[in-house]
Amino acid sequence: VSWEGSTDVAIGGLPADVVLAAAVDGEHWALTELFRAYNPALLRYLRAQAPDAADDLSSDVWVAIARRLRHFAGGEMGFRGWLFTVARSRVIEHRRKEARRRTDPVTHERLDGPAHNGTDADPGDLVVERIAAQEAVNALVADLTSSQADAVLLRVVGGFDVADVARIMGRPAGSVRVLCHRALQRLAARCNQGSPEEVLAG
Amino acid sequence: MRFPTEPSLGSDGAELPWVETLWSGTCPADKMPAWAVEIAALIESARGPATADEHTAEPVVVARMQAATDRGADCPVPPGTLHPGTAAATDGGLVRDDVTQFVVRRRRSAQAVYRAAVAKAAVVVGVLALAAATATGGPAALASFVENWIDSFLPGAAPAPSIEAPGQGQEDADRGEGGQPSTRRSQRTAGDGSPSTSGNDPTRDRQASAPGQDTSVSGVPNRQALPPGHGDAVTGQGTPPGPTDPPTSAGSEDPAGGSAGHSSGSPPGHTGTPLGHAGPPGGGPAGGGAGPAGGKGEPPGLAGSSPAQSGGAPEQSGAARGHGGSALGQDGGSPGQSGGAPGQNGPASRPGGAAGPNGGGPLADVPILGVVVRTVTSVPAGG
Repeated sequence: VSWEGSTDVAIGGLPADVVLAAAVDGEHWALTELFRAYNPALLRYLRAQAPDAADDLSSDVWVAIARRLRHFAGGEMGFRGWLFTVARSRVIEHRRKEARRRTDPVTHERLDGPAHNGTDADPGDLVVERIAAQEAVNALVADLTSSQADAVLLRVVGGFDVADVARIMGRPAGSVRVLCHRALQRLAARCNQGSPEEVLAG
Repeated sequence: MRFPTEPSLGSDGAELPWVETLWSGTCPADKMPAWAVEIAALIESARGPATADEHTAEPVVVARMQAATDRGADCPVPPGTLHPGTAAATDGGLVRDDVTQFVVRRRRSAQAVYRAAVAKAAVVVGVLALAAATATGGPAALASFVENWIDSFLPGAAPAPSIEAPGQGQEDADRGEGGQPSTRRSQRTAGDGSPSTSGNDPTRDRQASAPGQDTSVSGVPNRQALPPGHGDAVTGQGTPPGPTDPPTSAGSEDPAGGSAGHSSGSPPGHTGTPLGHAGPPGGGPAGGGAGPAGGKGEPPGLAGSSPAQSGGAPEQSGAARGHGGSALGQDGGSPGQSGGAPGQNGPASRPGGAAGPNGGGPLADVPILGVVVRTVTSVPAGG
């Protein structure tokens, strides 16, 4: 696993390279810092792509990353790209399984009411802030096609540029740019209640 | 490919500068079109700080990550062992159970592979044994082997079957070696002094049968005939006991019927010798002294290696002795094999010798996969 484009980014107050080197050695604190730094974005991406299995997919992605972490070479951008590449593969695999299984699992939270959220925070605040983050993500990709949503999520949530998105999706950079542009057209049309052409032309 | 003129893309197909910053959430509001302000707000919210629910799985996931990092992809961790840091961070059994279940699944898989390998090896050994039995012993030996092999799986059965080529017992009989137990099972059952099983169980006789040799079945004295000269042996009169067996020590020690053939030195526990091997032709040494001689030096359990040898119950001993000789109608089996205890066999014995001229019986029970098939096996010259 090798990603280029290392940047001087701090993770948990430490240089990304230091944290990554410690994580490769299996240091618990380094793994924790990586999880804290990237799991929110990963979870938002997964929740937008596979809402019913986002938490399970997130756990699987992290374990898969950990198994191959000793073979990783690269910087912060490389690790982030690797993380979302694995996540995207898991989403595709999950969709294939779902297409074969044809089930619609319902979590017990939806059946039995509010469940323990694992924190001591006010559930109302949790809902509000979750809406503030996840609902914004969902609103971004609500009217987009799958490819457009994928590209937009990688750009917005993952924080990648066109080249990295193209690498993750396995598409040319021009194709990614077109996907993002058409996604922007749809977003503009929905926000301004007009057709994309009218919005962009006006 | 020509891109249409779009506000977000330049003429070269590249994104405009404000579009790049729009997606990254860093575009100033005065640098973007008015229609993009709301989109920028959504993007900024989507890139907002982490929420509490996004960290709830941190202990579990990090522990799994560290466990995976420690053991790698192909290095299983023994059950119940975790990295110390993992155990300290998990705060309970959730992570421990999670990792342990993973390891246990791997161990179960290894056990399943082991069982499959053992089963395959057993099948291969069985096939090879069957092939060997077929090649060396013919159908009857194969059937005997199969029967013993099946019996070996039964509780208390003999641990291993024996394969003996037909004619081997014949050679033994010709050499005058007498009284070899047919099988371990028959030896055990006959030696326990049980009159009900030692003399009239056809299945035990069938185990010792071989092609060309009549299987003696106790209680059916007319099926086989003793050669001439066996009459003395049957009656227990006029025939000296075996050379190694003083006649004085036998009767009391071997109530089940000491075999004169045994007294000739056949080792106890020798398996597979067909019934009727014992005894030299004419039944000389093994004959009349059967009862007294058989018990010498042998434990009671070894006396009757086969029903016909042991004689079984006193009321069956006569018939058994008659068959002892008739079993080898060709070569003159030893009636001494069927010699029972002194005083039991002699008086109760019927003159098996009278049937001697008839030689070996024309019928024999040949076991084929547990089914006894009565066939014509041999027609001696005397018959």
